[in-house]
Amino acid sequence: MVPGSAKLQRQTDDELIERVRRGETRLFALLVVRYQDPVYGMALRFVRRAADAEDVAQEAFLRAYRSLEGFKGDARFSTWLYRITWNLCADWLRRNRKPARASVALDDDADVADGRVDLEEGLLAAEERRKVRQALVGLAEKYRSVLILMYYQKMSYDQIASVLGAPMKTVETRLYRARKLLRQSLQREGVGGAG
Amino acid sequence: MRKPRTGHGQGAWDDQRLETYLDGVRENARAPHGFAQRVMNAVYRESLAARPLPAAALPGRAAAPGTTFGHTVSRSHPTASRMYRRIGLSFLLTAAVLAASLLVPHGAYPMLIGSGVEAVLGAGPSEAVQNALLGAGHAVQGALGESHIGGDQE
Repeated sequence: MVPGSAKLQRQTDDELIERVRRGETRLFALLVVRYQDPVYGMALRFVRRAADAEDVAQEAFLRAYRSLEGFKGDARFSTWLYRITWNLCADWLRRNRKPARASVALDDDADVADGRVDLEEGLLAAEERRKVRQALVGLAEKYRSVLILMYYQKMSYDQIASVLGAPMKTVETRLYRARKLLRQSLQREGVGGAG
Repeated sequence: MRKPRTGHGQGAWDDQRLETYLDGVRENARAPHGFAQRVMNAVYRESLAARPLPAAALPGRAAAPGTTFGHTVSRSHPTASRMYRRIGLSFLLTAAVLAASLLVPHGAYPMLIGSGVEAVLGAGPSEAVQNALLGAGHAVQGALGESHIGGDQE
């Protein structure tokens, strides 16, 4: 499916981007395969519906392809791609705020049933997991986004600031408040005596 | 690059516990089957529609059109056929206009016999039309004159 040999697979993002820019469009597939899981995962965490997440992720790759000429290489390709994905997610959330929140419980089940989401073996019981998820979904968008990017996407402060297009100080403040709000919410739900 | 901090004044233990909880609900979301293929199909559709031919894809060059995901992506054929179609269409249109410009005056000619149009067919089109109208005017005036005389006779 994916073009190329092991040598091609070992090429760095920048090398692949350069070759795609020179007309080897098919090599863009390697970048798609490399980043499809994190980009799709990020979209899924924000939009919460598998079909919508797929649309958002596909659009993110298409936009990245269209804008590849303008990619200066100041940031890493992955960070740039996540930023595009975040912008699309933010647009989607602005348009679909209420339905997304309302459908979260059903969609979690649907994702698991479809085998699209592979739940990690954790210490928490299913009920607690559901409560943590609900508490997370209940947070305001700006707080939820930093938590998702940090804990789920495993991004550093630098990367989060780049992706959100916000100063580092803002990211730190939002993260601090997000944790505090989440702790309070979990306490109210009586989850594991957090806080 | 700065590493994420776990403590932020509220007590490191709390944050650590929070992190454990968040890790517990972390989902390893995987892109659906065939996702990359769908993305690349969209990329190819877009690049075929919007971009000029890359040098490598032009016929006769060293690099043949790329083969991806099992199908050959050829950029030269659709573009060339579109070009030929346009040339053919413009040729047909030109021929139709020429034919119309030749046939319409000839078709109208028998109706205008006697109005002087045969004398001016060689002239420019606007002059021909003016003279034809003038001739037709004379013919009508003549006919009216005749009927007027006839009326006097009655």
